[in-house]
Amino acid sequence: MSTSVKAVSKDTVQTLLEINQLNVSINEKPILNNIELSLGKGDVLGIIGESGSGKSMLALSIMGLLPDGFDTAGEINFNQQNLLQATEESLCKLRGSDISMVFQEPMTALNPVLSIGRQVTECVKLHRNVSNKQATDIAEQTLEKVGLPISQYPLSRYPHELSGGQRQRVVIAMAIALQPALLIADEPTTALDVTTQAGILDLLKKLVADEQLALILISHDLAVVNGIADHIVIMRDGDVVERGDLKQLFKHSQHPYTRQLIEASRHVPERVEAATTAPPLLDVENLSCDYRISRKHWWSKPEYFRAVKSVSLSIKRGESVGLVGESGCGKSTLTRALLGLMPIAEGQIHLHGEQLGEGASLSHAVRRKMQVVFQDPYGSFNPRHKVRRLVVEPLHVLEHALSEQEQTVALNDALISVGLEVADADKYIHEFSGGQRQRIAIARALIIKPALIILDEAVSALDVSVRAQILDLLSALAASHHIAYLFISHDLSVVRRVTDRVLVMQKGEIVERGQTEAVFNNPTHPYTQELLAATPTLPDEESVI
Amino acid sequence: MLRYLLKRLTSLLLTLLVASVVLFVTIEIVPGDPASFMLGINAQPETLEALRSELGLDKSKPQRYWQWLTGMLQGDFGTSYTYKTPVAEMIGDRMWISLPLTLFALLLSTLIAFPAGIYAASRRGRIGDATVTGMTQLGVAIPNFWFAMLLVSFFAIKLRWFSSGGFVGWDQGLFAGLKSLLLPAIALALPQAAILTRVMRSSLLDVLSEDYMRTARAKGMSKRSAIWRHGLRNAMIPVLTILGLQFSFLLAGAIIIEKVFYLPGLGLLVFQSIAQRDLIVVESVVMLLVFAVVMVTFLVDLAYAWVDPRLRARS
Repeated sequence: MSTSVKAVSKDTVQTLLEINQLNVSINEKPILNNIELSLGKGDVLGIIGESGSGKSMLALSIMGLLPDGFDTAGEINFNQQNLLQATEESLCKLRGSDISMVFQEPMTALNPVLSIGRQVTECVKLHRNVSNKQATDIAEQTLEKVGLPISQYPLSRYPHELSGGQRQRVVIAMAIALQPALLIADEPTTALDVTTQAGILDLLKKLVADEQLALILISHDLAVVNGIADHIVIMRDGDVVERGDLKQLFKHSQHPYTRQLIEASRHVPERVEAATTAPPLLDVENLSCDYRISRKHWWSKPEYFRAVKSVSLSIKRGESVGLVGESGCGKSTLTRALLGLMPIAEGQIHLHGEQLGEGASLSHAVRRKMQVVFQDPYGSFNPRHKVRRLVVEPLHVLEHALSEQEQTVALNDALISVGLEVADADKYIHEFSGGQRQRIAIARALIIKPALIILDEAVSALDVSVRAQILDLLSALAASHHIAYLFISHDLSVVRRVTDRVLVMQKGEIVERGQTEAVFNNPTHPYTQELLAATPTLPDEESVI
Repeated sequence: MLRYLLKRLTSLLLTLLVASVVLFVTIEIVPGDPASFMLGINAQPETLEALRSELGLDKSKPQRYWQWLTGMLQGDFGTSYTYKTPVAEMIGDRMWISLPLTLFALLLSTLIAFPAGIYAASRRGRIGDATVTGMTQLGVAIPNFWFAMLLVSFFAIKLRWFSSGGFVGWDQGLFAGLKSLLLPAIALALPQAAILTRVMRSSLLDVLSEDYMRTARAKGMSKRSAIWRHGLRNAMIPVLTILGLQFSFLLAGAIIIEKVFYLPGLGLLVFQSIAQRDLIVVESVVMLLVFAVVMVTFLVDLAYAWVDPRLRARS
């Protein structure tokens, strides 16, 4: 690996952070190998890598917050001071004051039992010898700066009273309250909705411009760093494989892995168009679903919240329909209603012409035709069962029970069609990676040869290259087995590449629908326009979306 | 917050009411007529009748329940069948030993468990952690009367620092009173401290792996101050639950220790009353315990709300 090319070398006087020959390992197992980086004041560096590439470990190394048991070698020079040699006490003085960090999960990054004001002022008081009043003033100003004006968001608010995006703003406020020279943001927007993500990214851009802040933005998504980062480095298995300007990398990347990553990010699977004359498979008419809200008093009447409001949609055989919307828009409720897991307040659902029971459990005949794949490949399997048992489970809905031999044939077929091996049947789920687990989930759905598979954020938790493989698999299966998909996602760029038609959902209603290309090229509803504008794009897509 | 309190208070009163009905019915089902038990098998029917009406046993059941309930509300728990003294007085006397003993034991157990649990959690997997965990295992496994006997044989018999049993009475002064309760309190506290240490340790370990602990460190806090300022309060909820349970258990569950140290506490009173069919005493003590449990639960609920703002909001 070439280490001679410095990503950022504006002016050596201005160098803020310089990493030389950094090696990190745990129990002799290398985590980071010979990392070389340098960053000037006010620079923005994007670090891109898939899970396991070591990008978060690099961030934690700079912060000096690696968990116990890690061995480090090399130099991390911050303002000419080698942090690897620094005492814990002097690191405590730097953290939060000169170097700050923002983490991925805003929902859990704040202490739930302390008010936001206390958490921001604490940071100030920790490093500056100021009065409570002065600390509170600084906290108020900082919260204002990150877009949480005190009139609307008083310091006495608790984290649970704020949304995910607002919490991330509080975390950013804590990080920048003391005007640090360097901010490290590790996947700061991955857990957020697109429009919220756009807001946070804009905020980071503004802070960089206004505060002379150097920023390291870590992401798995090339599109997220596009437009912010001056330079990016691509990491893989603890190595920096390539570095440079994002647009240049897109045009003239040297390294096959970078090319592969870029390919995977904009991968469009080959798809067979569904016959337009096909009869509808799933037909939903004016479907509404309610949630009961907890009563104010025991004597007050129960109140309901309408999560899905008169939604109509139809899916033809072999067709792929996208359903997009942000969290809380009702897409999961709709899914639950389709699967018979949720009572229906109004409307009807027909599958293959047969009406589905209202809220009651679905008949086996219906279940045979419809299966689901969920988002979390880690949480949706019973860890105590082997793959064989997990995958053959849906077979019990068949009309005639299969003999053991027939079950094995079906199991092997399902495993092979998702690209796994027959021998995998005797393994436990923890022996597989996230992408493999999602294949197993698809095999489980596939084994009874359903006509419709509901994919509920089924590729959202996957790395881009794995995601590309799964998308290819899905479209190959659609062609060979003639399966229809309801593809539910918050990721518009993926939906665009794999669906024939798309529905946009907001506050329980379908606000726009149409052929995918038509909707994306010419969105008519303001919400669709907003979503599209907020979606991060790759350099070569800028003209398209 | 006010609504939370009201809601909790209402459910507390309902619990007490239901408990009193269940208790009354249970005692009614228990075979044996207290009047005939008191007079012996050779009693004259007239004498028996007279005693029954004196004790109020001839009235209808709802009437007796109502009498019992209203009496208790006015502090009148009835008269002991065996000793012919007011039950309230008997319980009051015992309370002066059992309540201080319980609080003393809880205080000791907290004083041991908090530091030990925090210490073990902050040194997870190291020698210190293993030592503390090992000791708690011993503490849970060894019965408290065995501790009690060890304490007596060492501090009372060998060193002669304490008396081996009995209670001097609070009229001898606070110090003397506490001194005679110290050994039994230690014996009661050790097993409880072992349990509490384990709860504290595991609860704090859960909290230490939370994202906000990492945030606290990224702000520039040392490990230690992150634990104190952000960890402890979040780790308190399971600990408070166990503390509440331990209080109600110790209040009347100290019978073996009371026996070992010759302390006339509530536990012994219940034991004797059951043996003598003195049902009115049993009834009253059990009701008192239910009251104590409900009150402690209420206090623990209040403490939850104080610790966690989300609980305040939810109610």
